[in-house]
Amino acid sequence: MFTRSRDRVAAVASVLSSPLPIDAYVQMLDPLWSTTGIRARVEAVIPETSRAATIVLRPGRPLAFEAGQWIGVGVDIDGVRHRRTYSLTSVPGGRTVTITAQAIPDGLVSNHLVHDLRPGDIVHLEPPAGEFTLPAAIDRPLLFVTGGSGITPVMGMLRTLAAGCGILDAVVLHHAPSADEAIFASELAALAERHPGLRVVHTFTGAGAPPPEAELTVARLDAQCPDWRARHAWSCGPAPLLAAAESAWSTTDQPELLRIERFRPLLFAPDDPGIGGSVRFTASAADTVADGHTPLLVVAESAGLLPKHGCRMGICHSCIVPLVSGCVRDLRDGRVQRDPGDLVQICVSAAAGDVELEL
Amino acid sequence: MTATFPPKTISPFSDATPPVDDLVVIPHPHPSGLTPEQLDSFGLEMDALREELLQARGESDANYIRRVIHLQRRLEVAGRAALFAGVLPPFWLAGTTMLALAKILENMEIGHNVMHAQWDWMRDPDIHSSTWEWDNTCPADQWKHSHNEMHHMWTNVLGRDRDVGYSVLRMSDDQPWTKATRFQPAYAALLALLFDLGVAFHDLEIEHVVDGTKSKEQAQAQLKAIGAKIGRQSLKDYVVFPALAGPFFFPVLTGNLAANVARNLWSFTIIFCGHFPDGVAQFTDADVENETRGGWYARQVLGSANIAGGKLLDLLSGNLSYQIEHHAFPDLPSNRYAEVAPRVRELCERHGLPYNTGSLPKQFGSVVRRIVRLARKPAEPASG
Repeated sequence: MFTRSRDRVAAVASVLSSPLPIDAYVQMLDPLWSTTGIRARVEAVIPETSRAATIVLRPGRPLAFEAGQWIGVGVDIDGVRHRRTYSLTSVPGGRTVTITAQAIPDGLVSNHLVHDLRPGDIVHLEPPAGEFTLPAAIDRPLLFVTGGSGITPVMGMLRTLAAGCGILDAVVLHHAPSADEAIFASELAALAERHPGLRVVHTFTGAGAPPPEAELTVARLDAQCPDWRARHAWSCGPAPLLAAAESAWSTTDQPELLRIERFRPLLFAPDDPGIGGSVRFTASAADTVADGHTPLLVVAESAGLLPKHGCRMGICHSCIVPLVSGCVRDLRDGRVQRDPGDLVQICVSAAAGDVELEL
Repeated sequence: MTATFPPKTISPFSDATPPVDDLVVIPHPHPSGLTPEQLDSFGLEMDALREELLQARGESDANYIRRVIHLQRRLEVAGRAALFAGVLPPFWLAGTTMLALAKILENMEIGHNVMHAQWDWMRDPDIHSSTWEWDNTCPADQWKHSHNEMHHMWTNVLGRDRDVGYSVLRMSDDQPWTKATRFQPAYAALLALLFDLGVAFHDLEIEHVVDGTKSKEQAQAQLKAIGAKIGRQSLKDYVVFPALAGPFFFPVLTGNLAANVARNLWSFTIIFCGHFPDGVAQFTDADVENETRGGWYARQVLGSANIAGGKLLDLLSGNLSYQIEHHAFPDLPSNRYAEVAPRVRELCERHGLPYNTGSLPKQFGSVVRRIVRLARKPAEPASG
């Protein structure tokens, strides 16, 4: 009811702040205030490995979430807002939340989070979401099969269990290139010491593709967790690990016991600007194909759509459409847009590979 | 159909032109007098400048617009606070000045440029062309149509760019003279005083409703949006803020009114200096037929004029003191115009294009003289 009366005050104040939202003025006093989004201040950046760090965030208002869910995180890098999703690693109910990011080579956002973020910085969050969570009733033992930063949502679940009913029977099969790069290794060991029901098995895969003995197979599952078929299972990590897990569980009677969390990587545009791809206009449910030279406005019109537009030469911005997925290339200067949610000037942009637009 | 980009011609006319197999087409010379090859060279160099600016923009630009927004909001809050004590003349004057400056900054350097999508690259939803609504009676979406589309694409093309005289003033010898034109200095003064309302009703295109080329339903929907925006703006400035001051209702009301009028006079002055000083060219439909990208750039230069002044003028004019650069690169961040202006000027000189600039008194003086001169009945009936 506190928030409801706050909203009412905001509604009255919006007459005074019109045409801007009241947020524009309240943020002068409280930078974390927002009625439209979620702003959070960085409280601390705690190194986990040489290339991973936990970021402690204080959102402007408490975040309701379940262990295992992820949030959208928007950070400004060289003046441009970039948005990625990260699993929450803290226990629900706290005034602060944490995410743990691992810097990937050439990863603009992950490197910024791990190496450049400083206490006091403001980040922009989107509400927690995701179904990679614990069941309401834990009626079976648990198994987590993780790789790399895929341990992060699982860490959130284990911490939550440890803070609540305890970890009665859980096995973690975690995969990392080396002991140095295994995130949360010491905390997992400490948890296992306090909770006899928790067993953690690390598999080190080395750099590059894992050797055959480190691949996830039915035989290895049988060896490391003989009752794996009877457990609630979660898997999160690189695509090959998830594929191996799916194939292992497909041989069981209850493949639905396996839950999978996929971090979809951003696509890169083909190097050759002439290469287009399949084009999907999601709001119109229209599919077509386009080369890399034809403006997407023309592609849409050829597909029978009537997109709003003005100058057809990139100056009036009447035709902008949000990117759902894939890449587009600006025909004037060759710049590529590939972040979901980016606004695309379709009169001067062409497909660069497959693309989905909200049109 | 497939299309390539950049197309050889960018004018939508190229789609609408009827087949011409059996006609002898005499190429219309570009109003600049430049050959197609010279125009292409000019266009390529301007595109290269644009590309350079696109590459350069980054954190310092983002910090600039956020600093201006922060300054504008502090000025507005301080101005409104001072006006609550506006029964004391120094407070009234200080409050009104700060509020007028805040409104000028909001309309010119922030609103106008944000709605041009100059800051969309930051991907900050709070500073974005698709979400910005400005402190002005004109609804943002209608402004984006009449200004970004009609004015910026058809700059100074008579009959297409409706900013030429705002359908009220005769700004060109080629526009018809009527008896009512005699009084246009008075209309101009009135337009300046009520400039925000003039702009608000601009996109209605009343004359097109009258001649039947625009539907009444469309105009009614627009009118409703304009009315709602005027209502919200008036409620804030002329009812709620004065009422909050209780017994000091009238000083707040007059302060807000004076700030809005000051904003109107200033924006009228700057905007009329952009396209109507002596030496600025006006164009006809024939000039823009099959216009190339280089031709479009050259027309923007010929049809615009800068105002030479200092950094304060740049800020308060929303960098429309660099109207030429703004028209060449309408969606590049305004804080970069000052830096690129000497290079645009050099390019113009090298290509033999006039680069119109002058002090504010010089440019505005010539605009006033034009309004007065064109109010008089032409000596001979205008041809055509």
